[in-house]
Amino acid sequence: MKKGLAIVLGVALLAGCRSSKPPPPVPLHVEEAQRAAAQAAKLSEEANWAAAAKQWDLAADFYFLLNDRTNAAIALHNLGQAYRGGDDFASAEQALAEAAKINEELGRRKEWFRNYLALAQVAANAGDTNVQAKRLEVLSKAVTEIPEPELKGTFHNEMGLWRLEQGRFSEAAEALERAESYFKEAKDRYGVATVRANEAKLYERQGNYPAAMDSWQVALGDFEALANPAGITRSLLGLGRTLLLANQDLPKAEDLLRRAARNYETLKKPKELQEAQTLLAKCLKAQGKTE
Amino acid sequence: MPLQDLTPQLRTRLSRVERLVGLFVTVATILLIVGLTYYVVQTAKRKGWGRQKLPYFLLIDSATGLQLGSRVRLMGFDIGEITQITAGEPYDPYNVFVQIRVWEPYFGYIWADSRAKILSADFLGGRFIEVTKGTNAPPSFLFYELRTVSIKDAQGLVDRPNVVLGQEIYVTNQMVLGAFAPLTSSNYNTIAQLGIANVKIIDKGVKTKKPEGMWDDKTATYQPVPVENKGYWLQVEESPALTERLERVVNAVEEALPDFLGLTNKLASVLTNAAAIFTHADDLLVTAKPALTNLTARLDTVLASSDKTIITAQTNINLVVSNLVVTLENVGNLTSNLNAQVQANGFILRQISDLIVHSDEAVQGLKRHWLLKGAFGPGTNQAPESVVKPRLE
Repeated sequence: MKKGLAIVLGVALLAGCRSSKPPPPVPLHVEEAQRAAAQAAKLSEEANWAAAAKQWDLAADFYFLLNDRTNAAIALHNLGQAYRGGDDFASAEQALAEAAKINEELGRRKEWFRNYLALAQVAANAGDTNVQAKRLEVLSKAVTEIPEPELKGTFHNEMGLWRLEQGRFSEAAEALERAESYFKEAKDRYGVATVRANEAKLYERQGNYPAAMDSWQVALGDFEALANPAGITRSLLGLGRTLLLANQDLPKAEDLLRRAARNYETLKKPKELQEAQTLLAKCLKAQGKTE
Repeated sequence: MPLQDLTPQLRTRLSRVERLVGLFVTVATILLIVGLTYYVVQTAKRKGWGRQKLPYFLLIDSATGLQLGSRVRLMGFDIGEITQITAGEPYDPYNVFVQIRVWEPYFGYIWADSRAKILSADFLGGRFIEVTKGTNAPPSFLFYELRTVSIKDAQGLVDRPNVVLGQEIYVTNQMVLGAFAPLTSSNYNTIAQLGIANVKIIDKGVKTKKPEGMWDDKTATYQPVPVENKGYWLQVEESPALTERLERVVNAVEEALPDFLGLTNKLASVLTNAAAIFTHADDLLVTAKPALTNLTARLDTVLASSDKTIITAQTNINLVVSNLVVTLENVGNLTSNLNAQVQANGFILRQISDLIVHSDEAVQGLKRHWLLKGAFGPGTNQAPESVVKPRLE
């Protein structure tokens, strides 16, 4: 009897269940800040760096007005990344350093680690090797506290690139290998593809052209699967360059370099475009073509 | 199989099921009764059941867009409904007779100076009646005791606190005492001096449930409510139906079109004249060359012909300008008609806005419903995070 009554009550309640109450309205200024941040995130995703920088700056201002330092630090970090994307390394460093300072004060170690990683990348992009070395040293002391394999992978990738620049190939290979395993653990396909491309460059620098070609090919396949234009173009350029350096299949190298140059033109990356054009000129010369 | 043939366990189980069925039937019956009662109460509220209703009537030009049972409004409230719409007699000055019934207590707001407005309800040509609240006139129906007394008897009622006049007193089209004026000694003297034999008196101390009198505009007095009462006549401010307005706009355009065409014709003749002028001028120049000897005579001819041409051109220009003025006036009428149209349907934007807001609220509600929320994806504006990607060299 009781069971039956419970079933009837349950069915009645289930049938009469109405929608949950609407969430309380978000205060106007919070909504304003959230909207600015969401817009800025979209612009960053589209690699529209100038617009993204303006929007992140606005979002940071809104969060500071609300005394929400956590989100302000996030906005500052992404502002720094937007500046970095636009090759304004001084502004990028300033924004990232401010974000790192806030996160350190708030005791947010993971966020601070991200800020510092970005700072190391900015130093690498700016060619400031001393600063890069210092930052990597600081990061290497803190990396054991960080549980995220994704962040660890990014750190080891940076270490690998740093050692590659120094010509310490075996250490670079070791670091890149560790980075790849961390990215695999985190199921970060972009990270894995990036490490493979960097490994290809390492093989290229070592003069191991067959291994380099294989790695570039694998990286190209990975980036194509991810539909990542920057990665695809970098792999095309790398493969073309390796073929040129190995003096193998120069028509194919020419085709790859032409495709890379065209893509860099579309992506509006003048520095990389120049590199592709220089390599293309060399390739044409090697084939005895005058163009 | 008879119940007695079953095992005790099965019998116990069956009696449980019977009890459960009985409970279900009881609950369902209660729910049915509650629902029916709620429906009846709502319908009674909507239809004004159990409330006193008083008739009013309107005489209007057109019944377009009005329907039997349509609501009548006052100050934004539904106060009654249309009960009859019939065509007037063939020789009546008014075309349509409309009777409405107004519910208690709203007829208390309808006085002799109240007006019924026939307003456009929508773009599909629907119209509705809105009654304005009375401000400075006697109420249409009287709910106090009404008596007709001789002037002699009225003397005994002078200066009584609840006794007031049930009529208006006029001296050659000039009102000297209004209805509900207190019967003071000075007012009594005024009435007596005018030689009025009988006077209508209202005793405000005696309230009645049924209306004692209905205001009569012709005699400016309260008259007893007749048995076959078609109601109190509400004067009407009727805005024309949408179709009529559209017809007027089309007519204005139609009227304006010939003027436009006339204008183009005039322009064509002006241009023809101008071409002729140039041809003449050309001819003159050609003939002037060999005719140097009789230059003066020719010059006179040329000047005369030019003068004529200029006069013709001036006449044509005057005509064109006058036509242009008429055309502009027609365009002005056209825009004013459009403006009136927009004014009459001023609520449409608000209604569209409300529709969008309510639709959004409905969708938001569905998004939160336990059964349907799975069909909607997560929010797009997720909190941003610090992004750091591995560097590609």
